[in-house]
Amino acid sequence: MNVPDNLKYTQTHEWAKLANDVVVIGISDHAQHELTDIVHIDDYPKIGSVIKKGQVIAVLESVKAVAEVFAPVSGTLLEVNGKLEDAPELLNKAPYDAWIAKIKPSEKKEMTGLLSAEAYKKLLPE
Amino acid sequence: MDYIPHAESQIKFMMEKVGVKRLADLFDTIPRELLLDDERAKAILKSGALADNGMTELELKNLLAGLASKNKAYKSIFQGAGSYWHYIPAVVDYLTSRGELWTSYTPYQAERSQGYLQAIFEYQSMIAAMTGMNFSNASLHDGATALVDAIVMAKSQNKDRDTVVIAGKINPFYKTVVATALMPRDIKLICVEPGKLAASIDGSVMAIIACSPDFFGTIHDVAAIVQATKQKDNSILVIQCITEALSLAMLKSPGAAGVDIAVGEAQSLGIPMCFGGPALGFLAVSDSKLLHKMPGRIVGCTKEVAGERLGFTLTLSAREQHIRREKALSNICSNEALNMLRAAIYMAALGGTGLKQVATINVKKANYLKAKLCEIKGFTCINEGPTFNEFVMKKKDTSIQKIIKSCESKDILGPLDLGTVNIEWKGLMLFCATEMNESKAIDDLIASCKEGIA
Repeated sequence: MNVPDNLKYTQTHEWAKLANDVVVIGISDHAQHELTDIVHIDDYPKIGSVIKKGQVIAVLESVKAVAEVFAPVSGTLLEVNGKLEDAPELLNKAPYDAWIAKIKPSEKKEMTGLLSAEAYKKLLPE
Repeated sequence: MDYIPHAESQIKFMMEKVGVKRLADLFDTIPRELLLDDERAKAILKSGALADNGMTELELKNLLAGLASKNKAYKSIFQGAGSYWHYIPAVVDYLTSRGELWTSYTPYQAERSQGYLQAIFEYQSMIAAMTGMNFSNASLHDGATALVDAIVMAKSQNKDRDTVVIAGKINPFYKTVVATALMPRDIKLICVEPGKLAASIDGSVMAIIACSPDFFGTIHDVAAIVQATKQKDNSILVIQCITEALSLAMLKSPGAAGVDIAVGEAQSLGIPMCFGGPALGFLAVSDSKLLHKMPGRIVGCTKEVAGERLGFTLTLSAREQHIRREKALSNICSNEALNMLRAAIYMAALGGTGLKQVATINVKKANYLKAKLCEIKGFTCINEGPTFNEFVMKKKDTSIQKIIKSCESKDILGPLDLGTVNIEWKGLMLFCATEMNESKAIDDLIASCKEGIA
C-alpha cells in the first residue's frame, strides 16, 4: 500500500497536507482499495461553512459500500474538488492527487496531532 | 436445512441481559386486549369464531362468500379522490397470474431473474416516458408514501431549511400520511393557492409541491409554478404530485414543465381499486444528482461481457438501506412488484396512443357530466381552470346527502361529500367520471341529482 511520507493521516483513513495555511484532504490508498470502485461523491457542506474536526465533509459511494469522509482538522471549508463529480474514479486511480476538500484550519495544532506515515502504516494490515 | 435461530441457552442469556423473565414480557407494550396469547387464542378457537380443526373447502368458501356479499358493489361509480375506476384489459390479469411472474417480491437475483428484471426496467422506461423525466425507480408502495420520500429527497438538498409549500389542493389523505411520516423531522407544511405562491417563498422553503391535477381535479400551470419558484430561489426543488397517473397521458409532462421530482399514484394503470390499496407509487427525476438520492430499487441495463445480449441488474444500490444503514434517506428495500408489473403490462398493452385515447375519453365524459350538472339549478362548478376527470360542484343548501342517497337507490355511487372530509368544504361535492361510466349511467346520475334536490 502506498503511504507517502510527506502527508499526515487519520485513524479513519483520510490524508491531510498543510500548505500555505491550507489543509488539503483526501483518502488514503488503503481506503480506496477497501472501498473498491468509487462511483459517486456528494453531500459536501456549503463552501465557507465552519467545520469541526471529525465532521462529515463528503460521502463516497462505491459499487459495494458507502463511506463518509471526516474532516481531519477544524476550520473553514474553502473548496471542494469539482473534478470528482464527473470523475470519481480519480480517487481510485490516484488517491493522493485526487484531493477532496480544502480547509483553512482554525487550530493548526490539530495537524501535529495527526498520524505520521510511519504510525499510519502500523494501522494497516500486513 | 433446519433454521434454528437461537438455542434455549442463548435465549435465556439474552433475556437475563435485558432483564426479562418471560419471553411474553417483551410484548408488554401491546395492549392486553390486542394481544393473542396462548390463553386468548384457545378461547377464540373454542368459541368457534375461527376455522379451528377443520372446515371443508366448501364450508370455508361459503363463509367467505357470505362475508364478501356484505360489500356493496355499485353498477357505476362517480367517485375518485385518489382511487380510480378504470377498465383493466384481460391481458393484465392473464400475464400477471403466470407462475413465473406471480410474486409480490422484488426478484433481484440477476442470474435467475432476467425476465422480471427486464419487466421492471421496461416499467421504469415507460414511467420515464410518461413523466418526461430521465430516471424512474422500480416503484414504491403508494402515492402518499412516495410523496414522503420526495420531500425527504428535497430535504437532503436543502438541509438547513424546514418548510414545504403545497401549491394547489393536496389530497387530504396524502397530507395526513406526510404529516405523520415527517413528524420527527420538524418539517413545516404550508398550503397556498398557486397564484399566491411567490409571496409565500422565503429562505426557509426547501420544496414546493405542485398538485396537478389537484384534489379538486383542477389542472394547474406547473411550468408557471416552476418558473415562479426558480426565479425567486433556484435551490428550491419543485415536486409535482400526481394522484391520477392517467392524466400524464395527455397533459404537459412534469419533465416538460421543468419539475425536479415527479411523484404520485399509478393505481389507474391496470390496478383495481381494492378497497383503497395496495396501490402503486411512482417517482422519477431528471437530474443525475437527484438520482443518487432516489428511494427504492433501480434496475439498470447493461451488455454481457462477451457478446451483444442485454442484461438487467439492480444498480446504484449504495443509496439503499441495506448498505447505507441508518443514513439511508428511505427505508424502502423493495418495490411494489406485482402492481408494478400490472402497470407495465397495462402501459405496454395500451401504448402511447391508447393511453391518450383513454385519457381523452375521461376528460370528455367528465366535461359532459360537468356541463349537465351546471344546467341544474343551484349547482355551480367551483374549479378555476380546466379539470381532468374530477371536478367540484357547489350546492347552495345541504341536500348533498339526499343526492347521494338518491344515487344509491339506482345502484350508483354518487359524488364524494367533501364536507365529510374537511369541515371547511361543507356544501361541496367531488365528482369523477371515467371511461367506465356509460352515457346511461351519467344520465341516471344527473336524474338522481335532480331528484335529490327536488
